Amino acid sequence: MRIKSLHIDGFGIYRDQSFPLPEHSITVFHGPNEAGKSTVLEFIRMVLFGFPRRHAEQHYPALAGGRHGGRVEILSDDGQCFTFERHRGPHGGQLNVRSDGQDVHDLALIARLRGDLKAADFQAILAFDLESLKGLDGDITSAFYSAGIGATQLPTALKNLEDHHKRIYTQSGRKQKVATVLATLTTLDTQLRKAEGQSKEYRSTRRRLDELAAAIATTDQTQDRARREREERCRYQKAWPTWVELQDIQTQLSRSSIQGGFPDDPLIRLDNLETHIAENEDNLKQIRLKLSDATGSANRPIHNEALVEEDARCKSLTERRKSYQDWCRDLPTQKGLLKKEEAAVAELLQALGSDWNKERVGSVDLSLTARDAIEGWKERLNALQETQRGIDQELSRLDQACQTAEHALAHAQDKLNPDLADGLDDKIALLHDARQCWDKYQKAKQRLEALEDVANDDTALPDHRFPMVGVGVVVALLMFSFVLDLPWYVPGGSLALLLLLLLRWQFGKSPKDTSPIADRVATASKLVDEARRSYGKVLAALDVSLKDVDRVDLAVLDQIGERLNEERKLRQALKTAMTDLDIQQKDRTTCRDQRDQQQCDIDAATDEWSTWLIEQGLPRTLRVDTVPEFVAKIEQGRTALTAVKARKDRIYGIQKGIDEYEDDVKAVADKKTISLDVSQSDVGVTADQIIALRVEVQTAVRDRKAMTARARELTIESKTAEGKVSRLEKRRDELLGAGGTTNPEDFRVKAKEFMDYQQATATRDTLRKTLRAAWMGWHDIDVLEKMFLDTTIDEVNDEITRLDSQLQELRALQPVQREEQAELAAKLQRLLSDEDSSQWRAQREELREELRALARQWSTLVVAQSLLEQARTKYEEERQPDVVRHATTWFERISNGRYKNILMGVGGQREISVVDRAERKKAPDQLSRGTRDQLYLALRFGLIQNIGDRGERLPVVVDEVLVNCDPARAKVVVDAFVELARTTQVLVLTCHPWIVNLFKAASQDVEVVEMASG
Amino acid sequence: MFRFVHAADLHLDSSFTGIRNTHPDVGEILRQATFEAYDNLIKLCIEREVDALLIAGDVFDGATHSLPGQTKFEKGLERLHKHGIRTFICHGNHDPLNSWDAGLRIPDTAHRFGSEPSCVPVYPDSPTSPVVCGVSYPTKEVRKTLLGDFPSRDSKQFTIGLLHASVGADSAHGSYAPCTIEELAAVGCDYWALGHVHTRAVKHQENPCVVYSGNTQGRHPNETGARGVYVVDVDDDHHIEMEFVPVDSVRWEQLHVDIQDITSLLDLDERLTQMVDGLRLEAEGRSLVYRIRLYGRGHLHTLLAETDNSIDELRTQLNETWQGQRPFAWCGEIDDKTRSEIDRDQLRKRTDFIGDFLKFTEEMSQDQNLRNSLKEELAPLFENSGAKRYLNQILRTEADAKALMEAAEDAALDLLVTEDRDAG
Repeated sequence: MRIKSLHIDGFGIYRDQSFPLPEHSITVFHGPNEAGKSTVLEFIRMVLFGFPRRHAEQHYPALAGGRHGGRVEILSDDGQCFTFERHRGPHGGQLNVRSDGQDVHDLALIARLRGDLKAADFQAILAFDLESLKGLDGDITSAFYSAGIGATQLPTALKNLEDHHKRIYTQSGRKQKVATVLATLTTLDTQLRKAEGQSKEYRSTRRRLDELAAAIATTDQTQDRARREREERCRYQKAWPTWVELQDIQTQLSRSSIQGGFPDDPLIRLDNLETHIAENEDNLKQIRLKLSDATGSANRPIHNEALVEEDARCKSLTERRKSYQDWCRDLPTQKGLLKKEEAAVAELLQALGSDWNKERVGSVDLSLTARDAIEGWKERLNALQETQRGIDQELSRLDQACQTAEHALAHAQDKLNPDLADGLDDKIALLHDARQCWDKYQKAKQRLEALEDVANDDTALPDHRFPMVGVGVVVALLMFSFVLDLPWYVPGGSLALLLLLLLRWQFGKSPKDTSPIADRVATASKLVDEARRSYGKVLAALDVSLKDVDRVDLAVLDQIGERLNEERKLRQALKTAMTDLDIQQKDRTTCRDQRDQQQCDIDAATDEWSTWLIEQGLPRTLRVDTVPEFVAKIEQGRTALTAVKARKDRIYGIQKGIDEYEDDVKAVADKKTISLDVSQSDVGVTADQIIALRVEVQTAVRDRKAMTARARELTIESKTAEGKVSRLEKRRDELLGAGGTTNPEDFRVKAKEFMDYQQATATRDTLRKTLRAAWMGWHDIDVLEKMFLDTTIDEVNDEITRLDSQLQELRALQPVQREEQAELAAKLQRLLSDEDSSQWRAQREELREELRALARQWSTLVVAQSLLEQARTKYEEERQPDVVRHATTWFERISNGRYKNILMGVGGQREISVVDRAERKKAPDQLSRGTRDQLYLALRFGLIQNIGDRGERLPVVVDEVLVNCDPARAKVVVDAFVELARTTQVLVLTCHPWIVNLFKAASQDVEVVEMASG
Repeated sequence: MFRFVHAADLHLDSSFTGIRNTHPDVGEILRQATFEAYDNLIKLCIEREVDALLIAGDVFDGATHSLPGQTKFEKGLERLHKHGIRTFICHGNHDPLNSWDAGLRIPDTAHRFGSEPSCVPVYPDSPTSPVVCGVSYPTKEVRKTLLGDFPSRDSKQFTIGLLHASVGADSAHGSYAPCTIEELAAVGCDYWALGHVHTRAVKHQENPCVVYSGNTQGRHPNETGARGVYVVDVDDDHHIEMEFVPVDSVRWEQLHVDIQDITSLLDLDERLTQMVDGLRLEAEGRSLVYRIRLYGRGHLHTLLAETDNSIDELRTQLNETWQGQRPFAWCGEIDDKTRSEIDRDQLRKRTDFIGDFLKFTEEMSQDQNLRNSLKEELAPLFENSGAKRYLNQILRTEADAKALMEAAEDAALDLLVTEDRDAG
């Protein structure tokens, strides 16, 4: 591949600058510093391989303006032209490749055109300067190899991989990630192994806790048993004196002489019986005295006792006494009121009518049904009358409307033009035709006038303005020519122009319009006449006077039109008025029919109403609106009649009460056995005497009854007291008999002996109870006596001492057991709540996951590194001989045969050495600086040739690479470049004229491009 | 009418795997997750008023059962006992009979099957009571069928078989007490309540019904989705109605994200945030632990490879967004399986080192002895006595070896072709 031209749109100092490169093998760009040589080198690299990713805008910015970038035209090794174009943009700027006007998208082709190289390779191998040549000193081996094999990143990549996986794991390291994780895992495992013992500890603790609980229960039971035993012995100890006393009493009772029975409590019982007997005898005497007094009182007589027979009547008189007084006072008042009410009734009946009496008033139906019926009648009749009023109003309105319509009709008929009675529409149509004829007539006239004007123009004089203006202009030009001293051809040309104008004016007047204008005027005149005639005919049909057709213009036609339109409107109005009148008359007839029908309905309803009134017993003259008032009067009369009846009933009741009361007083007063003061005429006074006497008699009778009852009671009491005394005496005798005597004193002596025996028995029983109570009644006395007989007090005391000792031991044991139980429970709780092991397990799982991830990462990196190293070794073994062979040839040539061989290790031992003519092997650092540079140059040439052998041969661009060479060696190097240029385009950038001369001298195929200072 | 709950593989107090660098608060919740699930199971039994709870093995995770696990298990059984619910337990490979603690106190209503198959009525006093037949693993390694001595059932009583076993071939789980559907059907049980396989499955619909209830709480990245138990209703005609009820407290999910259309880390973060949001909604109020697998070729691979810890930073960013919320969402791991967008075919055609490198790796991948070669390379770590016991063998199959080769090739190419990409 070779570069044909460069076009820089904007890059560094260049803007829109082109550098066509001639077809020479070597092109030398010569110019002073700052001329832009390095810019050209960087431009080529940029277009082929892209802008830097970062700060691209600062990379040779377009200082002179223009779009940052440009294009390079190349010719491939197979002779095809391509244009590489790139401008600054994302990702190093988009590369556009075109060939024969077509875009190229084949990335493999593009890569091949770039020699399958990357920017760094291009920089290191093909486009190098003095500095980069020196740069090989640093790490010559790696740089050479990586550049040579097309992977400049390889050394860095290998180092990155190694560093990275060593950070993860090395066999000896302790700080790397895997070691850290493993250390933590080991620690966790140790902790977990310990934690696994927790379950066993929990189990043993729980077992021990169970055993301890059983032991505590046993201790508690033993203690309880001992305590109960001790209580039992204490009961023996405490009850022992009672037991001794019981034994004494029992001995005493067995020796007593009392045999058989004796009444219980003999002395007390005897004393009590004798006391009761004396008391009852005194009581009997008192009762007998009271009985005598009561019998006397019951047998005494009562004054006016006859009133007892009339007690019911007297009681009634007493109860009605106040009513009687009220009746006597109220009777006159009631009678007065009755008279007034009867007068009011009479007035009301009079108001209803002469044929109205009490019976008729009562017979009228005033129920709610009747009232509803009246309301129904009212609504019905009112509705009928309302409807009739509406019909009357409608009829009145229709009459008025008919009159209005008739009037309008007459008015319209008056206005009509009788001449236009027929053919109005035809005349309107004719008027339209007349307008069209008028337009045609007018247009024909205008056409005729226009033609006549044209005919007149042809006969007018020619126009003199054109030659006059032309002459004026030419004269003015001549005057200016003379005044301004213009060249001769100005006035000459003006005169020629004037001449031409005059000729044109004179001979240009051809007899234009040779057409027969007169014929056209004649034709137009005929058309005018025809139009006038047509117009006249239409006007005649319109009955317009034909004296002068031309005077009947559009204004006249408009007037005719207005008149015809007015007539048409009148006719339409007349038609409408007739239609309206017809409708109104029909409506009026219908309305009258409705009114007649309505009147019939009203009459029928009125008849029904009268019939209904008669059925109801009401006057048939009543109207629906007067019925309520009439009914109200009937109701009023009915109310007054009811009041009169009630009043009469009341007066009758009062009178009856007075009469009955006076009859009863008279009946009592007439009895001879009752002593009354009957001199008083007032029945009320007599009644009061009777009432007072009745009270007295009733009191006396009540007292006598009480005394009789008392005497009866005292008789019974006397008999009872007598019986009681007798029973007490009998019981005393029986008591004495039970004591074996009839004499109370003997009885008393015997009783004393018996009571002493009884006391001893009671004491024995008490002691037995005390003993039983000591054992809470658990045992019968026989059992208890046996228990006491089976032991001694000494034995009891010894046992209590032994039990005290046992209890003391148990009390000492209990706290120890409880304490251990609490400790174990706490330990159990702690074990249960201890969740460290769970956390450790979770942590271990996470760490194992971490370890696995690290292992995966480490494996990938180790294998990646291994693959790269193996691939590199393989590459070196297969490809290196060619590179070294080419480089050896170049080095031998550049060094003028002083060195004949280059040796290079492969794989892990990548060392370079050279062999001189004397077969001495030297390392690069044993060579002089200049020879070493030549060695590196030879190595580059070897690589360039190898790359070229494998693919596209890219141009070599060198920037001031010869400045360190002495003249002789520089010539040799230039010769080498000339040799290289046989197969590869070489671009040399230099500011040194001697280098230019060297190249010129070395080859004819050299082109020099001079570059001006920037 | 008879109702029971079929549960299995509680793995109480076991740790979650496949996650790392867990936040302490999240870690605490995860640690309690198996207990929470067990508690949910007990509540479910009580709320549904079931007659019995059947646990088909692996109550605990390891031979050495944790103390909290044992005590909490005891308490759960005690609660069921108080509600009159009977419990039937058989032992599996993770909690064989010889590992169970004799000190574990289970109530009278709980029955543990021994190493010999036996049948127990659910209600001993009822002649028509349903019967549970089961057998436990005497030791961890039970590689032969346990159905050999199983009592045949042909009675009219409804019979449930309780077993921890592998039915058919299942490469995901170790083959323990292997058996077939036909062998199970031959026993005559109406319902086989199975354990061991952690993903629920109805292996046979009827006559008999063969069911794996799955585990009650997912514990690693492959145990995704709802985990729970079956509530089974049996009517008088032995007609079976099953209802799966989730009891898990934390849910595992996996996100697979193709990076092809994702051009920036910000886009990736947004996409993941949306996906996580969606998963949280599906988790029905449970906390979420998820794993992300990034795959596909694209520019994002380069962005991720540019810095050593970009994946960790992404994970941290996601977790900072969701970990503080309740329920939380925790990203356990981001598995970066992305590849560069480099066109390998084009690179392989090149005549430079990169072309040769790709050809070389291709030749290596074809090598029959590849796995052994790589094992030798990796021996320094994988044969290290300290690391060996914690690491699974990374190269178990030839596919593993090829995958490692691809990853290594990618890593190398990422470093080699950076400049090429710059050149556009």
